[in-house]
Amino acid sequence: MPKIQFSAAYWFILPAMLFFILLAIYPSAFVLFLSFFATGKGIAVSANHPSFANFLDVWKNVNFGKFMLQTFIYAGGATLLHALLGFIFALILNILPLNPVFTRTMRTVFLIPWAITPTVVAILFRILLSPQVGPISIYLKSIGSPIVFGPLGQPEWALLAVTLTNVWMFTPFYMLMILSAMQAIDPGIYEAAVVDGANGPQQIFFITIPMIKNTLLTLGMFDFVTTAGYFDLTWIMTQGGPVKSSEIISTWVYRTAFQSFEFGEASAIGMILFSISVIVSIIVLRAINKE
Amino acid sequence: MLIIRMPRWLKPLSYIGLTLLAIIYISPYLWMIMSSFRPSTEPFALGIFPHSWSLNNYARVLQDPELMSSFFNSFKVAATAATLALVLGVPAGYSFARFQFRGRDLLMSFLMVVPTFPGILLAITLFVMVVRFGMYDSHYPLIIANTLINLPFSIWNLRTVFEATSREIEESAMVEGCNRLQALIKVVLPIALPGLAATFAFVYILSWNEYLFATTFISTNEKRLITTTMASAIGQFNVDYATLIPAAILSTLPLILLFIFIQRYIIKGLAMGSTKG
Repeated sequence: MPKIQFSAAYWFILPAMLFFILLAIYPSAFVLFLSFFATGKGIAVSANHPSFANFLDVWKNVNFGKFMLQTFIYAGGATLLHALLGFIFALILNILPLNPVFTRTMRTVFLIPWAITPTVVAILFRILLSPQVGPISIYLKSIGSPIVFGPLGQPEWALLAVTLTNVWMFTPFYMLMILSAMQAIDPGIYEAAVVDGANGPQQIFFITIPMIKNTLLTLGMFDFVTTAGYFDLTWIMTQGGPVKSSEIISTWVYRTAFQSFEFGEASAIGMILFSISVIVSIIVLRAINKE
Repeated sequence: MLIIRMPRWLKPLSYIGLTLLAIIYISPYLWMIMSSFRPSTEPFALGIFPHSWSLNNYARVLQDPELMSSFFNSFKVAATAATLALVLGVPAGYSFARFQFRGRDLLMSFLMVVPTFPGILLAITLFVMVVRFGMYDSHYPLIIANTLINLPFSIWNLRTVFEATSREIEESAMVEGCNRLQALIKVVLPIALPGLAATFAFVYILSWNEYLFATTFISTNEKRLITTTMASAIGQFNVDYATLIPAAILSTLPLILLFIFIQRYIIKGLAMGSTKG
């Protein structure tokens, strides 16, 4: 680094930071304000006294526990499967001593689902899983099966179907991140282990996994937090239905804000989501820093 | 890289196995591409390949004024947002790459935290602001929102791009009388062009893909983006699959190819943004 050059460094960063302050920090403060003060329909704000009425309304909602649980199943399930499948794909690509051009090509092919517009992924799986036009359903009918295949219309299956679609779409990203963490491990460590007689599985469990553990934890935290607030896929696939069986916090917030126009209550739900995100982040970051 | 010994006969098998696994993994999308070529009379017939190949569906998309205006709107919003993310991101990324200054680490961790703020909350606050400023149903708030959510990545990635460029050329330019800004524009940016283009392209892709803000801020059909137009098409009672499927391919395939082309320039920036604590 050169000598400290306060002025130039700050001038260069200033435009971006002004943009953030105007459009991220101010709105965040504003949503906090709304969650306490906005009452009733629309964005009418009464600033008479701080009030927990919006939070109490959220708490008293009969579906509060159900939506929270569904969000945890969705985000937790997706996070675990992303990490597991992403790890397996990355390991396969990293471990097989094949032609590097071939391996790179395969990595690129695996990345494709992540590069597809989420809206199109949602549309694609709505068609694939449709009981009327879906190819799986058409195939089942053609062999005379009595099963009606349409998981998105069935309360028992809708949440699972959306979760697995999410897994299909985002696993490639985690594969890519895990792979780059694996490739950053010093090959000398493996060579030393081989000299000491370590076999393949021993190298995986005693070198690879410990060396990428922090990456996995940070990725998992980031994943859980962003998936819990992820809107596009669930909204386009099921709109939280049928009978709210796939409703998660993000679709609940959207419904409350933009269909019922209760911005105060919607902000309160959102703040609960954000608080959970912050708590999860702190727990994971502390676990990492402990070492 | 792990060190394992593989029996000779296993090698061809692992080539075949890996290829099959990859094809199966992306088969839903391959199915969609195939279906876009099926004649509109039998869009979902059995079989992997269409019985007869037809380009009629694509012709119908190109003749559909609503879809074409949606494509154009998406292009306009994504290109402007990507330009803004570059204009704001270049100086900031350069500063993080070259200078050591008070608050640097704090600002960088701030950039890491921004993406964990739930988009749906941002949608509410921006919506309230947009309505107050009379900008509802216009593309400006969409451009601003897309710039905002992608600016952290843009800064992260540009920082790694600038860190990879040599310091000496720019210092010699400064000896010859350029100031810092001129050196950045005249010397550094041309060298960093591939990285800049890749950052622009990735923000363009992410903005094109964006759905939440597009559905929140726009109400008129002519102003809709391609994501919202397609999402509302699948929600109709009678879905026109023969137009929807090729439209979906047209809006994704070019970007997938673009993504494949730029991926090596963005991996470092992505890894930094999401894994460094």
